[in-house]
Amino acid sequence: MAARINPFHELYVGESIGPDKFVNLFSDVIVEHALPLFQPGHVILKGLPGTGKSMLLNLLKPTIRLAYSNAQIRFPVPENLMKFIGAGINLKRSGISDFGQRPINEADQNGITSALHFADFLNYWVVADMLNSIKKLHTESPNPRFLKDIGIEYTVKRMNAFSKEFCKMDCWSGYLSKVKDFNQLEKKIHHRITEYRAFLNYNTSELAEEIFRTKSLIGIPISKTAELLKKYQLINFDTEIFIRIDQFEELAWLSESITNLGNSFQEMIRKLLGLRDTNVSYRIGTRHFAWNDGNKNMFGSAARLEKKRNYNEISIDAVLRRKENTRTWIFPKFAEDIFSRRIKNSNYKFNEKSNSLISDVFGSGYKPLQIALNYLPNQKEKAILLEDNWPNKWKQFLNDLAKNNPLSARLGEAWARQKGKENILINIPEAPYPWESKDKIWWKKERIEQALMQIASRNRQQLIWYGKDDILGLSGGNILIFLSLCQHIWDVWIRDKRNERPEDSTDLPSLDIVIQSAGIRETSTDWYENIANEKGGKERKEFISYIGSLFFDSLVADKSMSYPGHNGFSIREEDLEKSDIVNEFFKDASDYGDLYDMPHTSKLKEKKARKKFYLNPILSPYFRIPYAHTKEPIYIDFKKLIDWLISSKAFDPSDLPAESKKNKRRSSQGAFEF
Amino acid sequence: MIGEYFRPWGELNWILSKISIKNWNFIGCLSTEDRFLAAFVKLNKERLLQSSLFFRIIDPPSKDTKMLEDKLNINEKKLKKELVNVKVEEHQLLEANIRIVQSIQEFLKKANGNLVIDISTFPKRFFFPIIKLLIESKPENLIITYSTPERYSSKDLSSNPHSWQHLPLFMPVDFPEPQIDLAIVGVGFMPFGLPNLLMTKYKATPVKFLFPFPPGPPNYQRTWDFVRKIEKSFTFNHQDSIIRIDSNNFPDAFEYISQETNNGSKNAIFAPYGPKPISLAMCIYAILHNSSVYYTQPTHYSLEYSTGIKDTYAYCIILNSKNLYLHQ
Amino acid sequence: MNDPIENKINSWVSQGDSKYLDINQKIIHLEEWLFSDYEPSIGPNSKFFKRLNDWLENLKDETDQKILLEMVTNIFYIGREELNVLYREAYKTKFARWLIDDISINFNTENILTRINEAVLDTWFCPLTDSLRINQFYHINDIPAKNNLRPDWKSLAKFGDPQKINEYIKDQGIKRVVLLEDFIGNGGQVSMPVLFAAENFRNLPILVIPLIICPKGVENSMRLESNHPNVKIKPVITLTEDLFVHENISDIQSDFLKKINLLATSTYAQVSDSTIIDDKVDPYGPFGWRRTGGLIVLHTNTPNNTLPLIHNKSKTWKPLFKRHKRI
Repeated sequence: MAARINPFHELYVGESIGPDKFVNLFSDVIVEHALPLFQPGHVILKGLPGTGKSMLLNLLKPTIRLAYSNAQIRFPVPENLMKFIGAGINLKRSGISDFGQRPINEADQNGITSALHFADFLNYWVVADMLNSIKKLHTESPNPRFLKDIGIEYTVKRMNAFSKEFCKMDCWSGYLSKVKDFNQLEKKIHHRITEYRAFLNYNTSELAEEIFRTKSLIGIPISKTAELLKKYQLINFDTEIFIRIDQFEELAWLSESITNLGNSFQEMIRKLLGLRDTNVSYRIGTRHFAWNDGNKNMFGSAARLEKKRNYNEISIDAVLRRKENTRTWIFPKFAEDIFSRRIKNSNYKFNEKSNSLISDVFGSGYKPLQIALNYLPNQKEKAILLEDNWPNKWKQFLNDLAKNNPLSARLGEAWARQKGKENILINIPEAPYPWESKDKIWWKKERIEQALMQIASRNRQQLIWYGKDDILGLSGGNILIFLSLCQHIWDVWIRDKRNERPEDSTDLPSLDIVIQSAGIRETSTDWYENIANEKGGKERKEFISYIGSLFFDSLVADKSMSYPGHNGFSIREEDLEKSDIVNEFFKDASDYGDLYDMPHTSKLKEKKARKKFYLNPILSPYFRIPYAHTKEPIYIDFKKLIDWLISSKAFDPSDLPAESKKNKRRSSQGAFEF
Repeated sequence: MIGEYFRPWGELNWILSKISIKNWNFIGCLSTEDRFLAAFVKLNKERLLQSSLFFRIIDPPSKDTKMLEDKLNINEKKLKKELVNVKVEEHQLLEANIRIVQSIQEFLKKANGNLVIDISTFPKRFFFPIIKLLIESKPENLIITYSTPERYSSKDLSSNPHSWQHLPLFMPVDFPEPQIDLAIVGVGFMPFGLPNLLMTKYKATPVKFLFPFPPGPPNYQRTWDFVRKIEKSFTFNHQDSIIRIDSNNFPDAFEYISQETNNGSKNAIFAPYGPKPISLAMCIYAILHNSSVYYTQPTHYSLEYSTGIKDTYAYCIILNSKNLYLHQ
Repeated sequence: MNDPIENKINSWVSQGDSKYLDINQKIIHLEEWLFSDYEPSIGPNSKFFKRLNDWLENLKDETDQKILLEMVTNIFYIGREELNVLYREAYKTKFARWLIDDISINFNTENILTRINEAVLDTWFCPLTDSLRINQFYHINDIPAKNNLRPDWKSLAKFGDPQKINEYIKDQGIKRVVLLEDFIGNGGQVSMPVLFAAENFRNLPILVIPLIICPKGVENSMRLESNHPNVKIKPVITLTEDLFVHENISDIQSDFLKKINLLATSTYAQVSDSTIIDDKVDPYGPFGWRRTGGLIVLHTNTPNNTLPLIHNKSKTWKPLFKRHKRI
């Protein structure tokens, strides 16, 4: 008897789950929105964890390429872009950020030597990986067609000829001069990397003099290797070479420990992009802040990198987040594809002809009136709050209306409270009521969520979350959150069935409103608790806790529903920039996905640039507020923001400026000043 | 201490009564916790100290900086009341590795080969590389001491972690990196970025969780919470398991690790969350077998991390120039 | 929802008590890793969640049900693996140190390990009562089994002949005795066999190792040690105060334990199916044997020092961790 399984038990889909599983679970929906990754030219790929950034970069790896071929699944890249080889380095895992933890030599007082050796290490690592990739693809190729598609024509003769010239290349400065064949070549390259790491690890007292003498310049050996591979026809001339450099943000964090060190290393990487090398194309995987902040200087040059000229940018978050025009929102399609792959990989029986398995499982949601009735199983008049000084006829009207349509009654109550609409107290309307009329359709639409929230609050009920729209909306364009929601909801369902025997063949369940709401609340609570697990998260959690409660109080107290958009706030950009510490705090909040920010075109007469901030939608259930953005957020100024930061205890008053003074960033721990 | 290996450990006074050495060189960590002084006081009372070095470690700036500094100043005064020559060195929590190395190298130049390091309040980022350097200096005698508190704070002990990284001097060196056969994780109170480490790097690797037991409650429930938090993102499979190990029994933890790795024939990586004696076992093993150790270093520690002093244990690592943890 | 526990949780959370989300998750997790090996419940009706629901349903008031539910996360459950560690610690740590002192060696001694291992052979390991699984202790620690007889000393104290025991000790070359017990509450049950050993074998070093001991047991142990220099008592775990619901509410610091105190008292008639409160009649009052008020469960059984509302089965009460009793 099969136990009930949760198809979303595994959240992460990275290479570490195994290439075979990867090919079944990876969704190619996102590929068409990241095509520059598979085209020549340098690309900066930005995104939060859970947006699919790593999954995309994994497509460049030989293990994944082989996995698709072995599984006889079409590689999810347009055919005309499939001819490439991938190699690269992960800046965290390689240990490269340890350069600077130990000066290369005593003369290295300004960090330049460290940066030069950082570059040298990167060169050797990437070259080693390039050669390894070709070897691997050739050795493990399932069939000749596979190699033809990529453009590999490996023979021992060609490799030996390649090796001979490779070792003599000027860029090595003679380091490989004594190498006789490819095997020795590989060993020598590996040896250099090992020597570096042994030195950085304090296993050896000094770096070999030979290494000092034969430092290579950033990017040159990589480019020359690519050129030579084509010259000796080991790869075709039209085979692209894509070099991944992942976790670029590691270098930014390095500067927190050792002042300016990370900057020099970042400048080295930028120099790669500035080389305008056509032999290879670099893909830099990074979090937003690491690329957005600071200058775009290149090491040893006064010139700066320029977007479009030197590189393209892809922001996965921007691709996946909902925009004003919802028709261009690709996330639903992405989520649907991932969902159906998970179900297909499980033992659940499902309708193959279904257009939307997400809808099959989660339903399309309740209509607002249904939700309101759910909040008020008895005493429907609890939906409304009547003022003592209101005319009895008006009060009676609302009470009667509430019995059948508590939502409309709530809207009517708010209508009466709004400025300029007070005459309704005397002139009792007949259906269709003003707040239901066609020419006020937006008035109602903007206030539905707030109305439902207030009805729930008045009846001391938790908010209901249900249906495909809610699940996608709460995901906020983040596939990890989407999977997390599915996981939790499914877990609740399995627990609810714990006293029933699992059937042999299990039909795909249709999950009811109670199960979904419970699972969604659990997910939201988890995500809220997890804020503190990241760097700076403790303070962010405090701030979010404060404004989440503030939004709830504001929305509930707003009886006239004049401010249904007060689940977010808006501030002038120049106000944010008044304090580095504050600016940094909010950048981090966005970069870690705790807050979602976007430009705000305000209705104010002043034309100053503004930004608006909302909680990550997944936090809405925890704070019992709607996630949808409607009308205007709360307008605040710098003083108010400071007040919030202090009241939330995210900051001590002494840390923050009372007036608009630029203050220093929190000082780094730099014991190494470059 | 019984069976196959003689690896004595126990109350510090008991251990000292069994060893005839009278002049130790001591390294400790000045901290806001009461227990930072326990081993030092015991040794000083018996006039067994030749020299003493305390690291005063400064966390990155936060809203607690002033209060932390005040507490450290109070404790430094307590230290100085011991009326013995003590050197106090200031170090930044996230400083470059070279600073730690230089300090220890200076210390070793003046030491006589009888070394004691008290790890009670040292961040793991410090005591791991320090112990490595001490062992590599081939001392005649090396003892590691650890004091337990009366109670840990019921609130979060630490926060604001860095993303996972290898500990200083414990990075992978060989290239290409050999396959990792096993991941061994210490279980503590706060997992921080551990799920990320396991999921992105070691999903297919069997994982053994060293669950500190005893003690019992209240730590016990918090430790189960750690496992629960990990399980939210990391799926346990049949090769993974939770191994209970006494939180103070470092030799037992070391023995377990040695058995699981077939004394080094399996490559293992370590993530030393949880009690320091179990982390110490990972440290000693990793030194002997050049294993990598990963951790998410918190950058903020609670002002009330722990209170009181309960027991002070000592672990003999090297006696009479013999490393008791090297397999013969 | 179908599942009654999930239904309750959902209802409570909907009313604003969101902490029950976390409590529920904790219990689910603990059930998976710990509670499922509770021996007295292994059998056809072993499902923990059914027992949990039945336990909550003993009481109609939701506030009381919430207290019971939260109590589960405060119980110190010692499972099979936990007990195995305690066996190991008893031998490798408590016994080993005592032995090193007993044979008077220091760390410079020649062939120190050989001497220690030889001394193990001259040691007689026995249980204090039949509750301790002495064979498990031997197996876990791979102790060379020289002595075939491993009687429990409670029985020996009742039926044994000190002279015969002495002869056995001489024959076997026994130089010291180690007496183990899994759980000591206040020590009443075990003091008799320990006294029997201490007084009849005054020249024999005796080590008593309770795997788990309550604070009251520690007090009594210290008295025993001071009166009998050949006896040492070295517990592996000494339980802390926050595992006990004292009878006198003013002795309790934690607000939650105070609530349990009141609940234990108010429900006792139902728990015991009797209006009599007699601390000599099982289950010995709302706070259990010797009014200990423990929150402890071993996977082998629940001690009678634990709150009866956790373990006592009666016509009017379904327990969570039923205690297997001797009649």
